[in-house]
Amino acid sequence: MAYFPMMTDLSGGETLVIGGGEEGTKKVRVLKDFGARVTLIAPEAREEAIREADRYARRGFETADLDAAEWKLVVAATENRELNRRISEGTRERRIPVNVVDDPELCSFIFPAVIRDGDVICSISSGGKSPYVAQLVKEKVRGCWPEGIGRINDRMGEYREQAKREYADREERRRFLRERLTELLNPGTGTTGFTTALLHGGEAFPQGGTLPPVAQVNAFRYERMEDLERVFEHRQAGYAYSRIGNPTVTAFEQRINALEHGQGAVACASGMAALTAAILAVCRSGDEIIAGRGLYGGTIDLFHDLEQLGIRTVFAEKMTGESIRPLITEKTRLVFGEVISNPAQQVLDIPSVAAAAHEAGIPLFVDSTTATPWLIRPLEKGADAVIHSSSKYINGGGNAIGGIIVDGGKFDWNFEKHTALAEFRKFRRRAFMVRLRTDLWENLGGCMAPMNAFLSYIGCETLGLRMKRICGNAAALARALAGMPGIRVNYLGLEQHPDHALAGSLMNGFGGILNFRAGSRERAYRIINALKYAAIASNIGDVRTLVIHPASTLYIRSGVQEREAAGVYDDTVRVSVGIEDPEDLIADFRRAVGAGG
Amino acid sequence: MVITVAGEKKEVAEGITVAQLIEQEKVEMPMYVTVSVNEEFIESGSFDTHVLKENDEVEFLYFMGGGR
Repeated sequence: MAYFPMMTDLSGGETLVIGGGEEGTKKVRVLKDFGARVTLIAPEAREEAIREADRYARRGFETADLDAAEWKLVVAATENRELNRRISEGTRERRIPVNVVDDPELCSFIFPAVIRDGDVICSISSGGKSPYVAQLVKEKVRGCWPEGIGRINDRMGEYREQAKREYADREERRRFLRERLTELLNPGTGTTGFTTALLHGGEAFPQGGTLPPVAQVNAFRYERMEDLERVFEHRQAGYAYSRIGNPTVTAFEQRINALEHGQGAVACASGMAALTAAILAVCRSGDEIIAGRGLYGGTIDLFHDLEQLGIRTVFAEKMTGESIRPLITEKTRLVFGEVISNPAQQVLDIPSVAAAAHEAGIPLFVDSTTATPWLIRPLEKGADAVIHSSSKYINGGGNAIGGIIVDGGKFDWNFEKHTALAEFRKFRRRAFMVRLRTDLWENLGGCMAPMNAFLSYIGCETLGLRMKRICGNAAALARALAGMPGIRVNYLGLEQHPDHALAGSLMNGFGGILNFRAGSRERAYRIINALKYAAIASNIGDVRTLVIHPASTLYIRSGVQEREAAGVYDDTVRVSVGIEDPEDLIADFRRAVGAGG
Repeated sequence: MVITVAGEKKEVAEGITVAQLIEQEKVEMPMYVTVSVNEEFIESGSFDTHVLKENDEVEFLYFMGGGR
């Protein structure tokens, strides 16, 4: 047989499936997925097949059934080989394409293994010889499947129509489309891809070094007292004391600021230090913050601590413009959310929330640790400042704790409302960053260490490569886990996740965090303990896959209601997927789930 | 025309922009400089288009860190 891989449009077409067992049910499902109308004929059939089919006749096959409609195709999925043969002969006589399950000789067409993302379809066939070979190739291809290619394809379709309208010359049209595809595949500036811009967008270093030197010093020497005075007055470029500024840390700040398309960045000792400084720069005692539920446990704890300083947090059930508007009061000074919450992976509708906040003269700050600039640039979606725990994906190697605040520099501060910034009103939209740099952040003392800045600077260079691999691995692992017994997977990249569509509309992928429920705390522990490659560790964003039981660790100080709002239950296992070979990860989890009982 | 730059009076061409002044004055570390004109902060994106006027007082400030 020589099968020609032809894609055919089944939408709205009539198809016939005979046999309602396991194979018949699969065929009904796949035909419905591709828009076909399905008639099912079987004396008995599975509930799912009956539910999915458009018509069901509870009886045996009759030859007249082949003439009952203009069938696009027929599937014989009974367990009676002789009956299947009769069906095959009847359809061939009528020149109707026929597939007979597990009997290639009786088929005029075969079902390929399919990878699908929107309208992008990859079909793999072994010519009917070995479904296992087709499945193996499918998994290999899935390992290098471009994340989000379905959405990219949709955009390219729009661009194609635009090109037809705007470019008469074919070469110009091709150039236009190639450039748009490069932009879509590589979130970056213009036609410069993400990694190219990252590696080649920075300052020159002394003696032509390709990396910044590590200024592991406390202070900087000057030849004249007048010069040091001018540095303290901010009238001369220079460094005085590493808590306030350090050239290695500056290089890291420059890099992240460029990645986020910001207007200024200040690096901190940790993500929590960054968050604390950002909040205290704009809030005073008596002020309120609106934040989403389901935040990282440490952030929830911080908000509880801030209550003692008179800064009250009001938690919104959902982070959408509609949900937060009723919560805004005259005391509200800040709206805060996590771009992808950890570990529930709820997605912040940044444009909607930013619009609602801005209507009331309030800025939106977001924690984009789990998303990274590779997936989304929140400042371009309406956020006013982005905060990262650079300890995670930005550093990538799990070797340096750090944090960073990037200011968009666009929020029009009302200094009568944001009195915390009143002293800096002359800096207008930059008041927040100037206050941090010259006042609050330097006084809080949560500076980043020069060596940590260096390690995170170089770790960041592979952010694009790592995120691509991590997102692909997470998707593959999530799909594999979904098929394992007693496992309920929660991953943003799976269609059933409630925020999957929102994520697809805002971001270039779905991230590297997933969690699953194991059925009980005890089983969760057994699975975790049985893993070989996934390390039991309290971190995310490492090149290594990491796993943890969040309820007993990260949420140890949170109440049950708080942690369940964060998607953390007693049987939840959180996985931060790394860059290992996907087949090894899947095999590791399969074995561990089996060992978990 | 005469403007004041970092406390000193200077003769500059009519219609000079902030970006041109930065280059002319050979401002050190231009990627880090913050500019105020008559105590009003100028957005870095506006350096190329903000035209200076007679008697403007320009200050170059440095908040050493990443990004403008």
